[in-house]
Amino acid sequence: MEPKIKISLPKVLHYLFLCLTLAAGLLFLLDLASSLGFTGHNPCIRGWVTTIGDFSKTKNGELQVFNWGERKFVMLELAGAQGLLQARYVAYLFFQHLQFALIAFVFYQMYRIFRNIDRGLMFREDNTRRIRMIGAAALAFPVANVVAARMIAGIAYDAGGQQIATAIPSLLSEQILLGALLALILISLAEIFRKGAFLQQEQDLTI
Amino acid sequence: MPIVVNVDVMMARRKMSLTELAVKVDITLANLSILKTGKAKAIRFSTLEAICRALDCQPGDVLEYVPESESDGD
Repeated sequence: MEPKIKISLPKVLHYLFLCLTLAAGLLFLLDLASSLGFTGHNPCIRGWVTTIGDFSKTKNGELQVFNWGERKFVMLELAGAQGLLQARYVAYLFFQHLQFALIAFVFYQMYRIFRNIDRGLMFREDNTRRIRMIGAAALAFPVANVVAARMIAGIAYDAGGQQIATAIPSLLSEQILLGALLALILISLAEIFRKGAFLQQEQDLTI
Repeated sequence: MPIVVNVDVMMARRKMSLTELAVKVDITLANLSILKTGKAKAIRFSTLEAICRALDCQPGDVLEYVPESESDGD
């Protein structure tokens, strides 16, 4: 008689997060390779930008846009960009990929938590630590997003004879606030798990 | 911990092996080992009762209070 395989929610989530971790890791590597120019074209900025009709620069170099045009998807080769844009782009790349890495990291931590739960090891110190780390990542993610957006915000350049400007992000601080709130909830949850781990240890050592 | 578990002493007196006691008390060898090595944090009355019955002794024969300073010197 063949042994029956029990399908439970923790088991399903365990394998789901394993697949998500692998997918996020693959996506991270593909995007990084693409941004660094390993996939056939030179390093480039790809993304949605806003075309502009009328703009000027202030004395301190800030961009003043008078007329915003339509949104379009563009690809700007890094070799064609100026020095400041290149430096900002490298910083943008770092923070943009930090977000990908954080997503993969969170999925991996969730995978490890559900693998433990699937094995009947729920209230453990390592699960507590992992929830706390997910909380930290929940805060780090919007921060990285805001910093990445700021890096390439409001850059005007000429592409194919058309003036194009990257979108200036608005209300991004709300994301940080939401991230902080989520981090607070997760850290509180980790504290409950820590207490649970203590009680579980007491229970395990009660003969 | 100032509470010392003397299960091994009583087992030696009764000439009983760990496996035999585990079977009589109906607990796993791993749990009995935790108890014997003093790693246990608590003992249930039901377990204590089963141990006393198996070893034909009183709870005081199995558990002993040794003040912290004395047990440190062990």
